[in-house]
Amino acid sequence: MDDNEEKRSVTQKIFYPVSWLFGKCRKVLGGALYDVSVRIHQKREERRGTKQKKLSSYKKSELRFLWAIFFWPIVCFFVGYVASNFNSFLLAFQEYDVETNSFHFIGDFRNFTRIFRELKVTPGMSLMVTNSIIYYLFTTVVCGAIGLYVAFMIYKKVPAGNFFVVILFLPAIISNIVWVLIYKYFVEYGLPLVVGDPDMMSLIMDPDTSFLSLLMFGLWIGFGGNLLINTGAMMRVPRDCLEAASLEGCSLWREFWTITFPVIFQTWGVGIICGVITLFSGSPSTYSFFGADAPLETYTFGYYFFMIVVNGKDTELNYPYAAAAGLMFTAVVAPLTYFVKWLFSKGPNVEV
Amino acid sequence: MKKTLCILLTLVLLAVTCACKPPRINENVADPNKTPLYVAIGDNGVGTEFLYNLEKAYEAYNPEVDVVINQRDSELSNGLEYIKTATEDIIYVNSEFTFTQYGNYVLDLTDMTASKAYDENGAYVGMGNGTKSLQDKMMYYENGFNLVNQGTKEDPGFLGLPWFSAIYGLWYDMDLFDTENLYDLPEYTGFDGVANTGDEYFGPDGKEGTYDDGLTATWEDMKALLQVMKEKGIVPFTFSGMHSWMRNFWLDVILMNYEGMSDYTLCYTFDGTDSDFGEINADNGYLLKQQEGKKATLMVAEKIAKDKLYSTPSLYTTQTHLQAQIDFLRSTTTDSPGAFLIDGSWWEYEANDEFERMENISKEFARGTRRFGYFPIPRFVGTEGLKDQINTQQYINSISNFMIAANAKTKVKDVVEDFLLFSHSEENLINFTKTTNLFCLYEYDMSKDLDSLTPLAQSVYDLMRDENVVIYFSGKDALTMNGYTATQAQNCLRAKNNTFFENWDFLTKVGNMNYMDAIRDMAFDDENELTAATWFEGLGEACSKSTWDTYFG
Repeated sequence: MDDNEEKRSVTQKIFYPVSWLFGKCRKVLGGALYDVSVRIHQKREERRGTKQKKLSSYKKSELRFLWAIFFWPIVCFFVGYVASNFNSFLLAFQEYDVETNSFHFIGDFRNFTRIFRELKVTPGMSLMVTNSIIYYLFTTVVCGAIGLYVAFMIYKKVPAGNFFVVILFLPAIISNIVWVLIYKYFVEYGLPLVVGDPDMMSLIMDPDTSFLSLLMFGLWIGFGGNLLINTGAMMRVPRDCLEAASLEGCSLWREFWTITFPVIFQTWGVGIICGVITLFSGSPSTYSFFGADAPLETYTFGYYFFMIVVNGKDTELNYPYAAAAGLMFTAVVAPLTYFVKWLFSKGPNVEV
Repeated sequence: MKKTLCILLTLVLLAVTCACKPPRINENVADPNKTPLYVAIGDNGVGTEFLYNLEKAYEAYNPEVDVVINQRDSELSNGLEYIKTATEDIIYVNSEFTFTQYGNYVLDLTDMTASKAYDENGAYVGMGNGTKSLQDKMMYYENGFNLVNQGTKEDPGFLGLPWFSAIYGLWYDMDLFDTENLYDLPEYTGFDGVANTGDEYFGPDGKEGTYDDGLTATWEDMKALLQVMKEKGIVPFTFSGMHSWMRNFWLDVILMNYEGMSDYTLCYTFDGTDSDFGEINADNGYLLKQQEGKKATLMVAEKIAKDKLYSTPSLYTTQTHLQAQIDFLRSTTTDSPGAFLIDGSWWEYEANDEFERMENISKEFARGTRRFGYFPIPRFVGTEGLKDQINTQQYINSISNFMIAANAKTKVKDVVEDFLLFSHSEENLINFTKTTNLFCLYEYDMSKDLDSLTPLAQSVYDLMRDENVVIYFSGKDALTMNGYTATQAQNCLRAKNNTFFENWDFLTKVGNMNYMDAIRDMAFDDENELTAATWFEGLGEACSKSTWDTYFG
């Protein structure tokens, strides 16, 4: 027993420090080796450029789904927006040759100067500027305000609110041409019966009221446009806030102005900012009403440039002119849009 | 409740899909044992009956071919644009004879049209076997030939063939004129302005025994006629309110008749001599804004508008050209019958359904029984405030932008050419006219088949053959009648600056406002600011010398 204990203690005395040392060395060496292997691995990944992680099959199928959804819109974006605008840019510096049936570069700005010339001398051009601005302000200010009011009433659950939602949203579902026909027949056949004057002349044909008639149609059709967006935004207002306001005797107008409107301000602003873009391209369904024969007093820039490109004779001659006009309008509208965006950024931005 | 609403909404949304149709394919299937020839036709107011008759005739002539007809109303509503994607070999289309974008898509038919394929009587005898070519047949109406020709007179080129030609203008109810004794009114004074001198009752051409006997010779006589109509409760004019071009097109016909070919075409070339203003060039073209003919036209517009000589719906946007035809036809059963319709000669065929409906009321209302005729433009002689018209010819506006084109991608070129030549034989041209009552600008003899035509078509036939009548094409197409090629016409000053010259002829500035639709604007003018005189004066303001120099300087 003593010999064994002695032997064990000698062994322990000799090898314990050695094993301790060995363990320490192994630890240090192992750590160093590990560091080296990590650095080598990292350098290899850097050389590769990307660290390729193996994706799970779920992630892969998710990616495939996203690509399937977005592939076509991306292609449409590149073809319909990027390529067409690039082509439009090039077209603004070309001219159409009737004899060779082709476009060729002219290398000057005559298409742009033509716009200024026509603005100065072509009758009806100044009216187009006025009509375009009136149309924009009408849709933004008047239709926007009424739309907000209607959305607020529906949000406050007025009687038959859901019925109004369906009715007001119907114009967004059913074709615009159908509504135009209904409106025309109402104005020309129904209205004379309502006012009791069967010889009443058409308000749509009357030069004094034709543009106004189109705006009224736009008002009627436009109710449902932002209805869902506005009511959706209004629903973000916290209920307890409304209850507290109600307990304190807050009126409906006060509630709208001090609670609801600040909450929806940025959402509503998006519509206003996007509306600026239509300053030179919008028209109050003029083509739906009149086709190619719209009276002069209903012309807006949107309708006019649509007509010179799409309808009529020798429209290829007008492509470069229309392209140049589009670029000029962009030069006006783009900074204006940023300005309006900046203005709205100064407004209330309530987080709820 | 919500579930019900959701179901209803879903049904409404699904109903929208009714408008969907499968991708465009050749709907009618050809006989697999025969060579197919596909033909597309749109809605041009002439129907398809003639084409199905032609199909039977050709298949009897060439039994190895199966002609398949496809109705492409919506595809062909944009004119020749369809040829870019068409699968058919031949298309019948409403399109101008300009091929700026379509030259690579249409088959060149020049060689076919030059081939002697007809005998002396116009019968088709096969390519190269005859004595007459299709070009020879077209040359009978030289103006039509020039309109279609894409090359020069010495070296013609054809990328499309004329299909049919329609006369545009004023159509009057001959039965009404008979029953209400509107011919030979005692109020007429004729060219000398004096009644009962013998020149009152032979119409604008002043010749006895022609198509216009008993009708108004001068504008003064026409005013008298309109007054008589008003007193009898007759509504003189019916036209489409939706399509302003239709009433303004007729005003263009009046302008042409006053000015004559030379002065009319100057408004497109700005290179020549005007009877009033002398030498016209690119520097002083603005002078033509106030041609005397425009004053005459404005007087007519003022009379119609201010005296309310039109049916009330004629100035409604809901009044389509079809509705105008219906109102005009039905008015005969009312207390306020209509006297005139402004439309093209296709209108009678286009209103076929209405004729059939009215035939149920009485056989005398059937198409072919009711009589309509072309009302010629009276001459402006002895009109106060207006120089006497010098032109004595009657110009009738031919709407000829109806074309037959062949697809450059066709795999059956020989069959296409054979079919096209066959369809323009004497017999088939006669059959086309008998079916549609419309005429083609080719040489063929309808004299033995006149009884098969409606009175309107017979009236047009007489009109086209009257020696005092000249068929013209409006707009820059008129230049082809002055020796211009189609390409040269597209290169004229007016065509190249089409945005500046948009509505140039009648665009005016009165006060601070611009107007361009004379009849409509004057009709709605409650303050009486718009008259022929103020409008005419405003023409000069709308395009003054400074305006012209600013634009062209």
